[in-house]
Amino acid sequence: MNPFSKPFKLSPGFLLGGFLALAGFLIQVLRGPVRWASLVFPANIALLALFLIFILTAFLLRRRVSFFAWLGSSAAAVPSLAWTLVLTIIMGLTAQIPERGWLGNMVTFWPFVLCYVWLTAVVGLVALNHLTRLGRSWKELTPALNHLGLFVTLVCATLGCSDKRTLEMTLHEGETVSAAVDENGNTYETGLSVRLDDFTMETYPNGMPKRFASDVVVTDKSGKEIVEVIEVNKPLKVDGWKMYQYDYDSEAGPDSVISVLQLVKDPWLPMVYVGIFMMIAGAFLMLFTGLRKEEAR
Amino acid sequence: MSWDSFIWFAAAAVILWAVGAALAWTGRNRKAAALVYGLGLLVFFSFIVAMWVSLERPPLRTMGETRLWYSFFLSVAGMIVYSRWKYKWILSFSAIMSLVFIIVNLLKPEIHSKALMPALQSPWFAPHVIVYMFSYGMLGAATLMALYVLAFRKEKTTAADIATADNLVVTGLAFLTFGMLFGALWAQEAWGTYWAWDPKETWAAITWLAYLLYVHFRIARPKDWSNAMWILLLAFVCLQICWWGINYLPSAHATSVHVY
Repeated sequence: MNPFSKPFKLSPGFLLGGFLALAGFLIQVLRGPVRWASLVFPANIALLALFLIFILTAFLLRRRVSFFAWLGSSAAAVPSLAWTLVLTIIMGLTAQIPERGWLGNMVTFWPFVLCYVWLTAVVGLVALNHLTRLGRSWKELTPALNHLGLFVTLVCATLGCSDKRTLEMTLHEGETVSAAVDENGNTYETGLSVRLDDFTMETYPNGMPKRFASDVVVTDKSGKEIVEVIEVNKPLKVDGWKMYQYDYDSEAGPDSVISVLQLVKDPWLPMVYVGIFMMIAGAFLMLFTGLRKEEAR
Repeated sequence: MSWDSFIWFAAAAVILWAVGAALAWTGRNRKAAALVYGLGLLVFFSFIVAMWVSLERPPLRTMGETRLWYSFFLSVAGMIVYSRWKYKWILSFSAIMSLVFIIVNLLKPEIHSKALMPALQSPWFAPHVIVYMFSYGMLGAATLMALYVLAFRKEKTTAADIATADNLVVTGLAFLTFGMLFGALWAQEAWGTYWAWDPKETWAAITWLAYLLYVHFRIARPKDWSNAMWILLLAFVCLQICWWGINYLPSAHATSVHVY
């Protein structure tokens, strides 16, 4: 008797989750934590292709292989959500400080990662199910957007995280700087040259910072000069870099002549945004379509 | 306007809510009940607006201020449910829930100055929190429905009772999604990271997953309503931890930028 055949049951899913957690635990013991840093371009693109091929194959074979049909059903959604929920609660209850061991660095803990991969595979299959049923009913658009949006967001946020570059650029008033440092202390040439003309800061009567900003002149790769004020919540975008007001000499406060900018380049961000906006649209439609009910099983 | 006048606005609103709830119990004049109750909402909301004007910023910064919105939206959710599904008891319950938060605010107002740190001065700030508070109001009403079903209806539970919980959860979940994603977009604008697994974010994800679990359980096992109601209670516990319980979690204190 195939445990994944119809009528679909929840229990094999709870077992599968347990199996994934155990397998993850063994990998963790034998090979150590997930090394996200090695998942840079083009390895992440290759992994993405493999994952998409798996999901597409599972979708096409769903009528022949009952496991694949089950994997794209609500009976798989419930246990995968439950397992993900439990592991995320563990993350929420343990301080995320890597020195404190495996549970202190949940994002590199194999059971946690494998569980999310499982959830993402279910979400991808469900998205395909709804997308291919779009012709039948416009109501399918709601779950199609919700699932596809979440799938795109999860996949691109995860596979893209190591391609993201976050640098800090320390500027002194009057000086021009083009290099910036990453979190490990390595120096990079950004291709931009940035001159800080003035760092300004306003405070509340109690001395708490109200607003701080940097008047900068940025010269981009083509030699064009951009005169701009960068402040908190108002980043500047140049040559694919986003420049954020990050820090200043907090001891000098309003008299600081130092400003620290954060430079971020995230080539996967546009795709993450596509996913996020799909989910926003899906959630909006959900207000009108309500909870979709399948036939009672 | 200041917190000193809060007690008068709150008292007027609570009296109007009590009269509206009492009219709902009699079941004779539903329109009058909704009208009086709505008047209470208007009084309460005018205090929020007055605070907004006098603080020169949206009153959303402190726990006390978010409780203000929660009291308001809980009553809004109660009124929506009453108008659509005519439960006699819902107005009383939502009024009592709102009253609890009003009393907490009177005893522990956590009044803060006008100061708003630069990271919070964003056009995303108001929609992010207001949308969350509306969602919490809806999901609070769904929790009341779950308690009602588990404690009082039991074997007499009808499909309509569960459908009410479903509708409240779907509405709450949609707004929960808006709140979480607006937060991500805002964080990206403010410091270049849309998701950082900060404890507040982790618990927001947990709450979101818990309500997703409810929705998918309802689809997978539509007849098992009692377990569905238990999931709803569990989800609400997660929501409370995310909202304020996190301030008491040692794990969050070590690392969160969101503890206040």
